[in-house]
Amino acid sequence: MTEAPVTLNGPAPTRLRWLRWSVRLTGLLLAVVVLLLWWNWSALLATWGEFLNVGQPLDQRVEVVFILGGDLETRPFVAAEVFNAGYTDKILVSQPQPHSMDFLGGRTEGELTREVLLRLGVPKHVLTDLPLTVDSSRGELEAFRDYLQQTKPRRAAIVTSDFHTRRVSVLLSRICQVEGVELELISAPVDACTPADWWRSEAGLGTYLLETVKLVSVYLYAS
Amino acid sequence: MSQPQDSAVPVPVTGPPVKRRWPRWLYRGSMLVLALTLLLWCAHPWLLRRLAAPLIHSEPERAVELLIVLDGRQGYEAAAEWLKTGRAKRLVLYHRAPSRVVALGVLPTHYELSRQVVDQLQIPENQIEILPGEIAELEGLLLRAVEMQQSGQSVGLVISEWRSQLVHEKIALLSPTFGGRPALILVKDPEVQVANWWKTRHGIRHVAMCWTRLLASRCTDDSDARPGLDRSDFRRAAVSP
Repeated sequence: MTEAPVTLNGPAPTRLRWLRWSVRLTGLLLAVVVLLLWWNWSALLATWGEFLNVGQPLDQRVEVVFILGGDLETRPFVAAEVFNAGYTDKILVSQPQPHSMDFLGGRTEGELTREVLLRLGVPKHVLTDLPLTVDSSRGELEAFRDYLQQTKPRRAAIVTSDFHTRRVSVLLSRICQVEGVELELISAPVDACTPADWWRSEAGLGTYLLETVKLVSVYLYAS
Repeated sequence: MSQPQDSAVPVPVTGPPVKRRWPRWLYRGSMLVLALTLLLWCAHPWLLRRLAAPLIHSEPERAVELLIVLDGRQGYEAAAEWLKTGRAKRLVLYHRAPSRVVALGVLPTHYELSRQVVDQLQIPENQIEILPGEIAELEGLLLRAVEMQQSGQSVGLVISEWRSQLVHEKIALLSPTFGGRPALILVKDPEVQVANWWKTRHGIRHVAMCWTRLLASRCTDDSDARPGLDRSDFRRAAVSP
């Protein structure tokens, strides 16, 4: 007499149930997001803009301010205001690598940033160049971390564009935690848009789309 | 005396050991994912080249009377070559509205920078023409180029190949007919090439930026011009009042 095959009756294994529920939950969340977008997309987009902007104006002195490279038209201007308001005595200038399609009369962005600061009344002795080994936000923050470890200031601040502050804050928490140093982020406004209306202009939409892609890649990138 | 408590003892299952099998759909799904991964890995150079290709709008080369350079020193070098070989007659220089850094005197104006490069490249003065007025943005310059083209002069815009599709779409909006459109003369970026853009960090960043700009250009009409920032905006951003 042949034996009947043994079958597994009863509830599905826990792992499978979890998988099914994850798929359902993801579908539900997507449906909610689509509904919310349809209902009030401008408020949601503004919320995303505000989410990306985590910088604040300074309310206390800092020993050093670091200007991240990238927006010569605004970031040095904010750093100069920090100095002129008496909130710092030292400004670090990033030295991003030049690229082939730059049209800056053969000068580097770092040199131009220094000159902007000098023209805005910041004395030469306040400025220090921070050379980079890797030309990226991560590379800049790694160089800044090394600087902080050597100089051990109590408080320091970073100036970057408003849409960039969230990504910098994530990177700071991963690679730039130096014991005893309190770090502040200052949001430099940009000409094309604000966090509340970025999707209305071509430059704003392009900037925020790219920043979203970069932020996702930073979240996914294991430090 | 203890009684055997048979009813409380679980009956052991006899027979062949039960094999726990993956459900068929999970097995098939995993195989499919594996096959797709393998396929993607094999085809990734081709796919990545295809991903960059829509950013580039190439068109057959045609001789022009006037050249306008949109993209930096590389563009002027290409223009000098066109003038030298007789494919173009004159180079048009233009004044761009000064940015904040230019207004501060840190950076020369766009016209001055262009002049410097033109002098270095030894382009003869009789081949230089200056566009009257001041150009505030790319669209303004494209509009002037379209007007010149439609007035009977043939115009070539010298531009980085990575911006060519973006500029082509903007021109197509300004001039729906092909005959009224300036020619696009593409300049290769020595740092970022279609064949291997994904191999450098700068290349990936550049292609991502070009794509987002192209998509943004398709999604907005940029009608909301904002007033520029001034010193008070920077002060508010820098320190609390």
